[in-house]
Amino acid sequence: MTDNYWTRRRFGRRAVLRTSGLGVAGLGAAALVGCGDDDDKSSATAAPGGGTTTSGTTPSATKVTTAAKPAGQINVAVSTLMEQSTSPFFQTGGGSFVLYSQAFEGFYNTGMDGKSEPRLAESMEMIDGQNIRFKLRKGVKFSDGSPLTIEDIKWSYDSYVNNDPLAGQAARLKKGVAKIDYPDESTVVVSFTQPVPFAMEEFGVLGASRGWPIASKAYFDKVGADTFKSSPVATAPWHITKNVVGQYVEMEANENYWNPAGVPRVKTVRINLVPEQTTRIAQIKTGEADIIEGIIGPAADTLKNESNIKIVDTKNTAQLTVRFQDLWDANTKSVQADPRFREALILAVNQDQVAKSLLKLGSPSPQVLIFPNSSGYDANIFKAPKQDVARAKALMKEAGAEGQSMRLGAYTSSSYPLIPEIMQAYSGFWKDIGLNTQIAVQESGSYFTDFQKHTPRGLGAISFPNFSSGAILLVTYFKAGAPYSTMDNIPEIQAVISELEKEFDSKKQDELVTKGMKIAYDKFLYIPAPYVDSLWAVGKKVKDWTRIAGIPYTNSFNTLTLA
Amino acid sequence: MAPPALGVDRTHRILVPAFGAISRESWHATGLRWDVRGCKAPMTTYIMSRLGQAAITILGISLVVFALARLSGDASALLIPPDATADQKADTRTRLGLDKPLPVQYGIFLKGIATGDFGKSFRFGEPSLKVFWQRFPNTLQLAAVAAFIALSGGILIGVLSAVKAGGLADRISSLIALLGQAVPSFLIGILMIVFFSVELGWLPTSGKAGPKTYIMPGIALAWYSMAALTRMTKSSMLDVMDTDYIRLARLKGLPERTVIWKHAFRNALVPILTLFSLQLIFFISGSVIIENIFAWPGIGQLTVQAIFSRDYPLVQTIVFVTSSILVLLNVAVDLLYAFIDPRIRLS
Repeated sequence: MTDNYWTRRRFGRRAVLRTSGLGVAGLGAAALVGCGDDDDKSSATAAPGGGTTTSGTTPSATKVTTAAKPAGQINVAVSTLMEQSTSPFFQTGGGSFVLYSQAFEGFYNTGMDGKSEPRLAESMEMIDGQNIRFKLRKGVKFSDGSPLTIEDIKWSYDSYVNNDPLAGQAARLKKGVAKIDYPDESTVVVSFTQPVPFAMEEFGVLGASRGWPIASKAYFDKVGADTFKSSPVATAPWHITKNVVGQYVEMEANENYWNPAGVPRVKTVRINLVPEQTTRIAQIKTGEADIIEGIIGPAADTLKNESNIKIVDTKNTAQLTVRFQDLWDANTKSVQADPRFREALILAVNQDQVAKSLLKLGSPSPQVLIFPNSSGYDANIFKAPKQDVARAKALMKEAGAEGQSMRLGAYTSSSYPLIPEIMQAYSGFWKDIGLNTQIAVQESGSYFTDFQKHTPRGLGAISFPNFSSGAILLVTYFKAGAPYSTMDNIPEIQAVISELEKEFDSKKQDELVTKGMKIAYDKFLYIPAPYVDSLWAVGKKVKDWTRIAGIPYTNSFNTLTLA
Repeated sequence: MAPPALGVDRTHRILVPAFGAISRESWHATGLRWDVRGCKAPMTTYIMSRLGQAAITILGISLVVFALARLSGDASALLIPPDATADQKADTRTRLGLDKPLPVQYGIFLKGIATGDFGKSFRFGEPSLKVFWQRFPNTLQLAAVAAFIALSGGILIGVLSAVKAGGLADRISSLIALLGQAVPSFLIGILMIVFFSVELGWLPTSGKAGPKTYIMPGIALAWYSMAALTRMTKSSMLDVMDTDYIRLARLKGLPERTVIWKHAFRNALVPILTLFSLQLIFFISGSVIIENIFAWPGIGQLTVQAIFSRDYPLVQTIVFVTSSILVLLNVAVDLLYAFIDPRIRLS
């Protein structure tokens, strides 16, 4: 029998020891060789009841004119792509807005003013409180040049509401829609199971970017589910061409886009996932990225000195409030029940100082949860309070609240920077007027869970992304029983909400929003912190870029112009 | 004459440093008891014992992972819009199986482990194990590079430091070892990005796109382990260099390179490898930070993403599978030790 070197030496102890180091080296060499919380808060221009029609202002698809061909490439570094799904039928959080708002379209999508605008529908008509009729835009083509048909609309709806997994919005649509009729090639009638006074907002789905996304059935039939999921064919300005999960998504300009004004001027956009802010900043400095998102104020300050980098912003993308959590208890004996105490806490705070010195961005906000672009907002009513320490002290004395101690809950948020630090500053302001606070910083998940269970008492910070619909703000965050409401025991506000839910006239809806918000404002039910802006750094390659008002997420690459 | 044995009597097991060196007959001639269990069979016993311990550890891990994942809050809160009604929230909880009592959820989790079904990721909508395996090779590649850098760098610097003890090279290597253990990896990572990418423009800042992209994350991940290995190599080499057989080798006129690498280093290698095996865990656990800094698409980055989105099935899968791999790796190392040195299995 031949003496085999390998079998003879394979298990020798010395051989093992001798070769172990080499083994690791070999592995290394082999490797080298081988090598929420947020929705888009678009507001629909809710159609008034009684058949009034809201029409689109976007150009007709039939008037396509020849434009300059898209050219060049832009690299964008984003902090998250959420689940990085490129399927039109599975989109969830706000972090993937950068994808779904640009690669998919529904009947209505978010326009540049932050409100819904007609896209694949030319108009919508509220037939009655429960039925909406959409008239489809004619002459729309998919990115592969094939025409959009009613079959695509039907198939897209079925695919969306039967997708596995089911997106949150799809689940709501599935439950809320009784039936859909397609009387002719250009009409869709959606019937809801119950009256929907602000259907566009209530369901979010018909008016928002994620709602009922339309994609090509013929393309799906041709390529199958797997290829479709990674590079679907839709009608939007951008067409997803590559999705490497955990790394990047690549999109190309859809030159067949039905709206010539919306055709991108850049040929290719590569969206790289770079979670760490420091790394994104390094990328913009080296030129590896042309746009980076998620810059906080202090970092923006340092980048301002770089000659080839510009800081651009979108104003008022989020608001922070501090809530009086003892008010969850209708019979509370807490000093929080005293409006003088609540006013004192509001007046003690210097928001301007917080915005300028700590956040290095943003502007003071009023003591109510509303944004300047929200329907129902009135600048004459909702004014940011000015710091008045003397009056705050007097109010504290009147309320007998001097020397009191209170818990102050805080957490870290992806949509609002430096919350624990701001609460530290607020704690200082309140100490000056005689209130001692103990700051308790929690992980955001457990914080929200506790908040929804109404577990913590005392004061609690909570931030909100921009909403352009005041009605949704009021119903979502003020209605008794809503997850983030602290207004359960304020009957005046609950009465307004009840009235609002029965109102189909959008103008009257806005009036009711103002009325409800004013009650909260006058009763000092929120302690406000500054509105913050979202910041991006852009490199020298980018000449111009416009973003959607109020949206904190990266968007609208079709407005990019290269230098 | 029988070879020296440790703990020899008729009731205790006999520890023989070099079992293969004597025959059974010659051993019996000594009149001492031949303990079959203690010498021949214990490897099987030892393997069974270690595997049993590993199974208990893995079961413990499953419980800890399950509990910790749920301590971070209610996943449904992140998966539904803020304006969702109580009904819609309840629907989501039912769909995700979060409405069941915790013991039932744990039972489902354990059953899933047994059948290889770890559930669907809430976020990705795909089987969690599939999502895990998509990313794990990337982490493994980076870990392999880091292990290579740590081992080769640690050994080279450590040997140099021992051989040139007291000299400039020794001081520099001591400084490197000190910095390695004192300065956190993430800071080294960021400093490297600033220096090598932003200032010098030599290397890409991040991502995984070719050999160059392995260098900085590999060094950052290897940083701490390399320092520890440097110190161990130096200390072990100094011990060996002071022995008689090294002096003899030198007296025989052997070249210094042969003395150091063939005679001294070989004998100093066992404690170095011991430490290295302990450091293997760090190459996986350290990836959580390093992968985020360098935008590396591995399980470290995935873990952070899963935790922030409260993706229970995915968090459970990542932690459970990774921990189980590490536990089994440790068992393998222990078995290797027992194979190399029989005293271990007999103790």
